[in-house]
Amino acid sequence: MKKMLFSLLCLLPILCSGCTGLTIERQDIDRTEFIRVIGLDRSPTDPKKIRLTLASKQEAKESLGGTGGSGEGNSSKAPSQNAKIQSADGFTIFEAIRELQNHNDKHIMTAHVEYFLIGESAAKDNLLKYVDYISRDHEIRINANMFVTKGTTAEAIMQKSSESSAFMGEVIRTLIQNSKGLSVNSKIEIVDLMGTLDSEYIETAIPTLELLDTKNAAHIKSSINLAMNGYAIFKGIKLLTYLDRDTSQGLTFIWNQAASGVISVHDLKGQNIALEMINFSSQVIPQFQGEKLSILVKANISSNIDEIHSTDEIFNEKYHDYLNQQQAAVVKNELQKVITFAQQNNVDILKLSNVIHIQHPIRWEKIKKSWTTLFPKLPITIMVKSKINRSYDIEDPNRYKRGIP
Amino acid sequence: MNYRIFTKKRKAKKNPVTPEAPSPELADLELSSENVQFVLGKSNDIIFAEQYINGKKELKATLVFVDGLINSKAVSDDILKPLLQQEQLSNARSGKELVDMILHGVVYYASRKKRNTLGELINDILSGSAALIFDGEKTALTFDIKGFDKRSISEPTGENVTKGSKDSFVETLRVNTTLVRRKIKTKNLIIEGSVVGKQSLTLVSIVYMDGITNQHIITEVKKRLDRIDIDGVITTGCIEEYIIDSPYTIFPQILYTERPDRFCIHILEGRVGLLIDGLPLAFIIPATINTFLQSPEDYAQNYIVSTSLRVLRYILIAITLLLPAFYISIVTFHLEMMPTELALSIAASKAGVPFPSFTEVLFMLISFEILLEAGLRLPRNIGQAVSIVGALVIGQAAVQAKLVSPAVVIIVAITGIAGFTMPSQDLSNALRFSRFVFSILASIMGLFGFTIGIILLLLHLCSMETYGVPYLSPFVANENWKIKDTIFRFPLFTLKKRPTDLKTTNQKRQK
Repeated sequence: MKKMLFSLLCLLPILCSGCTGLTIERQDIDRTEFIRVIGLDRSPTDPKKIRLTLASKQEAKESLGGTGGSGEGNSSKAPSQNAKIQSADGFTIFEAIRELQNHNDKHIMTAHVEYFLIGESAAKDNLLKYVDYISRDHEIRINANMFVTKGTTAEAIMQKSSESSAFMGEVIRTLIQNSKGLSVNSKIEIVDLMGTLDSEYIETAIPTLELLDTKNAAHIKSSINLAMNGYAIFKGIKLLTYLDRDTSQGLTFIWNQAASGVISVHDLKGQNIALEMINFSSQVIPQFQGEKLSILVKANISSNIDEIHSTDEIFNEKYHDYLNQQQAAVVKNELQKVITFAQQNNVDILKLSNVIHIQHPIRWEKIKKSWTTLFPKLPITIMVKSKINRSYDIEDPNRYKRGIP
Repeated sequence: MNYRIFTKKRKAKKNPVTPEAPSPELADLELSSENVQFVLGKSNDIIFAEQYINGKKELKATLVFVDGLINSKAVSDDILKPLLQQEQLSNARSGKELVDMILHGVVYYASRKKRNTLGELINDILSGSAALIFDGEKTALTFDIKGFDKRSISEPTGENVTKGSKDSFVETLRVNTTLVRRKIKTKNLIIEGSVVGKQSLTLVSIVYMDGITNQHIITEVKKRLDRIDIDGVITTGCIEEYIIDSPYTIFPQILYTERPDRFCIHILEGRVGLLIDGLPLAFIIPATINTFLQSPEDYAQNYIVSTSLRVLRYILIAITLLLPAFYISIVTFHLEMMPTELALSIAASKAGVPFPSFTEVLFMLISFEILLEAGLRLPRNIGQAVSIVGALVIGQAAVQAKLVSPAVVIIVAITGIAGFTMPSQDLSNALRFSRFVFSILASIMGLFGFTIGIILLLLHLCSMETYGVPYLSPFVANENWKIKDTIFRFPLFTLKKRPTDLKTTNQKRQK
């Protein structure tokens, strides 16, 4: 009897967990549609509606027809496509998903969505309208990555990508991995986005994804037709503009998210030398002189010499100093660009308000109300400490004794 | 030690069956060859032979034995020959003097007993003794002269040995006690006897270390053996089910071994052993979950290797018990828990299979059990055919016919193989059964049911005791968390004390 009572006591907290109306739903794996990428756009037919596009990786053998939202949805699939792309319109994302579900032979599961693409038109409209469902729905993983599609709609990018050899989810994953090599972008997850959107003073920056015309592009030819080339900057809830590559790199630097990168410098004769950034750290230090606030941005960069085009003997202290100065100047220039951009547009994408709040909470309380007027005029000093650690091959270049032929 | 469980359980009905306590119908009869013939005469394997001692008709005795149970040559050489040829016997003036002379060495056979009651005499004869009945004196002399065929000591078949002694217990009790005595030569090794079975009168030896083993456990084992009121001890269950604390659980509470080295390790730790005549197995009491997961090889290998293997065994318990249920849970209820690529891979492999995942898993688990059972029952040379049929039909054809998905075949295969690594077949069987319960719970409620199953299992195991020792010890009720010889196997020189849960009289194992 005691055992029974004890067992019952142990089971009560589980069985009476407070989940009223708990339905245990069985959903077999082969009857499930695993959505990997979701695109969100402003509906081209009705601006009040949202165009939802879903992409799942599967073998396509048949074409599906269907309607969604208010009857304007469609889904298409051709044998050559690597993904099943479905789209539907709805006043809300939730409605559009339910409409698509209504026309789907499998259960749509958004728990495996890795990437959310927000179309340019949607970003210019109202960001909150498109991200609330993403942050609120229990099924979606909050570590999914966010992108803004530059110059086009999410649906267009998804449709185009489905025609390439690789599935877009895998391409984006590769892009994120590879982005560490240039440090132009860093990834933004839903949880990060929720943090910045919740902040009163920080503005949002989301990496961009753009479609490349890789066959006709002048500077690059690749089998991958997608690229991450900087950040989309929001002011309030609307898209303000896009950052160029150098400014984006500066933003990655100031966020202390840079992992690696290429710094191009020159020798005394103007020939190129490539430095591989192997270590980077940055620190934002708020300084108060009386009530006067200034910001010091400290950056430390160390690199290796990876490529030398000249035949100069550069492996001496004097030459290293010369290269170090150039490297520091490049980093400082990029940092300066993004700081100037932020101050000119009065968008605290640098997250300075957050740093001041954490490091000087009492003083922050005094200045926070005037932050929007204070920020554009804030004196920001940049200090870059550069170090060229070593070279992979410390031997002097071939024919260095003869000089340039 | 808390022994309340002993008093709480079945009340002792003391029914000791011993040769010294003959059945009531024999108690009324006096000892004579005529009465022996009356009792045993219906069986034609009982031999009665009247002998004249030294050829004198006035000195006669009746030789009685069971044909086949005794050594005929020894009877002729060591008993009959002296009776006929020893001249001293002809000097006996009375039957009483004759018995006395035989008892004191004229017949030179060492193991002899004087019997004055018919019951004792009958038991001796049926146990393999040759009896000389002196009707005039109402006395009999019995000579323990067993000579039946017995299996020789061979390698253990159920417990493989890679590094250790290769002998195993046989069906003959005395051979088994000898095997133990050869390994533990101290005077402190006590081998007490008992008889179980009203009809079979099976000899049971209780083996323990005097001065080490907890006296309460010894007393309790004896008490429970005395309580058994069964006709015969033919299989292990005939004793096991009467002496365990929780007869309604599937988990084993007695450790069986056919290896004398394993038996002796446990005896030296302070456990009680039972050797049963007719069974090539020994019982070790009390057995806790930890003992079922230890192998004698653990002490023969490097301690780091042994520790790794033990950790692996504990992991494999979880796998063999929970993997099918976990698979059912995540592919049916919690798809979001899986890595995306894995989910897609499983979904692709399951495409076209008409059954839900839990049906597939249960179908495969049952098929696996059928194959196991068939392989066990069939003669050895046909057994291979079962494995071929199993591999082809279940493994390949079922997948090709889209009856099951390859992922389920892999899951069930891993589950089955993990179960085979258990050193104890009894524990393995318990886990085999429990995995069905877990799978059904997971089929109904997913991880919710899975968790409820784990809680109920833990509750059940935590509530079990065996001879006053918690079943999950030393993982529970272990104040100082002494687990040097549990999941881990510390170097032997660090194992200074015996297992604390056994509450041994002498805790110290070494300096």
